[in-house]
Amino acid sequence: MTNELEKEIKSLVAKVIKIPEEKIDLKANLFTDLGVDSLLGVEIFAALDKKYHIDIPEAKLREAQTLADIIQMVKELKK
Amino acid sequence: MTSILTVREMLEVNRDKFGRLTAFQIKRNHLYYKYSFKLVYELASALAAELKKRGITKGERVAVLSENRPEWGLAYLAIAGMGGVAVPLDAQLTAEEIKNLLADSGSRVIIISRAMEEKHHFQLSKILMEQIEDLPSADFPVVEVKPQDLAAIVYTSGTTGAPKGVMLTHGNILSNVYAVSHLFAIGPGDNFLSVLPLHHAFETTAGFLGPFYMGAGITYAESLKSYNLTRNMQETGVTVMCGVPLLYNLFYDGIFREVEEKGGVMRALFSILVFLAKGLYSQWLRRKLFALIHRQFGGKIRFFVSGGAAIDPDIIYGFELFGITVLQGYGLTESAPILTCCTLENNRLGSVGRPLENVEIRITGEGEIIARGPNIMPGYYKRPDLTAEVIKEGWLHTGDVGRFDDEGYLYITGRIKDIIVTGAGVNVYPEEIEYFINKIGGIQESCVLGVRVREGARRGMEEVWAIIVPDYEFFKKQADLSYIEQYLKEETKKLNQKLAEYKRIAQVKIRSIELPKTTTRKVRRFQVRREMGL
Repeated sequence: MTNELEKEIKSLVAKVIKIPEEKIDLKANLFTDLGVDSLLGVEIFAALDKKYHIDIPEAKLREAQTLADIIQMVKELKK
Repeated sequence: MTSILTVREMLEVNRDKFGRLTAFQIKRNHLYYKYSFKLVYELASALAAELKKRGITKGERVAVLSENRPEWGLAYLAIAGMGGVAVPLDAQLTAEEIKNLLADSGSRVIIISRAMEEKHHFQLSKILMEQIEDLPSADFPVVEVKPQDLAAIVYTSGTTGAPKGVMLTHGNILSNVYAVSHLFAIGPGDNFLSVLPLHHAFETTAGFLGPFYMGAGITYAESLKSYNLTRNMQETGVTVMCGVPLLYNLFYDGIFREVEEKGGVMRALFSILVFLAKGLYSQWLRRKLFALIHRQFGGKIRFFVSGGAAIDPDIIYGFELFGITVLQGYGLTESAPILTCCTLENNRLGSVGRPLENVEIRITGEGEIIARGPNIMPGYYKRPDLTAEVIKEGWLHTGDVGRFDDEGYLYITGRIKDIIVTGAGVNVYPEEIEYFINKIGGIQESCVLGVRVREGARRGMEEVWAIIVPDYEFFKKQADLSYIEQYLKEETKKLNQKLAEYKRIAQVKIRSIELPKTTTRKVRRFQVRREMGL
């Protein structure tokens, strides 16, 4: 289940930032390695909100440094 | 010239002309909280009186720092209205960067949101935005303000080293607003969605003062999440939005992503509709074809405006096929900021439009765009040296290269000046970043360049790249390239954490030989770019 969720989130993030999934590493820094900026970061949150019916606060953007962080956030909000 | 010459006059005229119509609105606790033009005047008066009580007199600087919200507008109008000088600050900057700008501007008071105050705790007389409505009612302080008096200082760079504040007078700002108001039939009944940071000159004029001047309402987006933006559009009937290229890219990609998610049939249908739209020349019919998209945007959008950086013409064309016009404009903070703009009647794909009626534009022998008009700043604050570099015989040298077509439409074709313009329309000055890079141990010298992104959601936009020449002496025994590369990448990563987000270094390239320089030891950036194949 967890792996499933990770895969889903990775695929969704890849679609939003339009970078092939295989280029995205779980530990890569979203901002410095994957070129995400705040606008794009907010768009990632929006896509996750829609998919999982959650509401990730924009203020959390600074805490979400890696894809792994985002996955953790989604897991917690889905509880 | 305009009949309204100062911010104070604009406030008074609009109070009398538009009275109870909504000037600003924002969603709080599920309800839209509205500020009429009359209420805006009254609250700005109370705030101006409070500033006077705190000893602010004509010409004194007052900083403004917050996320986008109606109180930001109230603060700006109150400060400029009572003869003070508004210093809008970028909420994305670090505390240290903001302190530097507060010191340079000599701001004695700051009008700040609670969220920003809790984050930074500045040692300065402050007025919390959340408390503006609790201030006692008062008449607007009587101060004689002339069009040539300063209304704002807008910092475009120098958050680390030498600050560069663009001084804008009441005449600069209102002449620009006035000229833009002649291009668009905008007024009460229109509703702008405010998305871009308000300290950005493009949003200040096009998204705040412009609509306010024309009696249109402004809805402050509850968040930047696309579904919140579209919800605000649907709930309030937004008619116009000013955005930066990256925002339109995201909207555009979002449309295709949704189609993709709906499966093969929808994909095929969508492709057919796009094919059909290509054969139609009526925007009305295109809107009918893509009614679903229009409903998503609230169904009342008249047009979008793109500024701050160059937008990909394919995105403009794509929206055009959906029946949504995206108009491109051009300008600089130094010109308050609009110089040219496409309109619904006069629009050319790829062009930034014709000059505003009160702006003269010429192209020099070297191809540089120069501009003259009542909107051109008197200069940089306390920096006559920098002013002299860009204003020569009354002409503002933009540092951009361009050409006119036969019908007077301007096209931007390049850049002379050494700045990087990101997709979010923010300027990054290479020297600022180089200053920090060169402080890292093991670096002999560096050159920062703007390089266009080739893939991803930010394709076509510039990002910050650093070309670094290592100091091989520093590495001595471990001077193999992979170690140096790893070390520099780690160090720049650390540096990135300290920089405002838009200044972050996206790529590091190592160069083993010295950077090419002029006889005065200035780095030849063009040559570096060519030699590195960028």
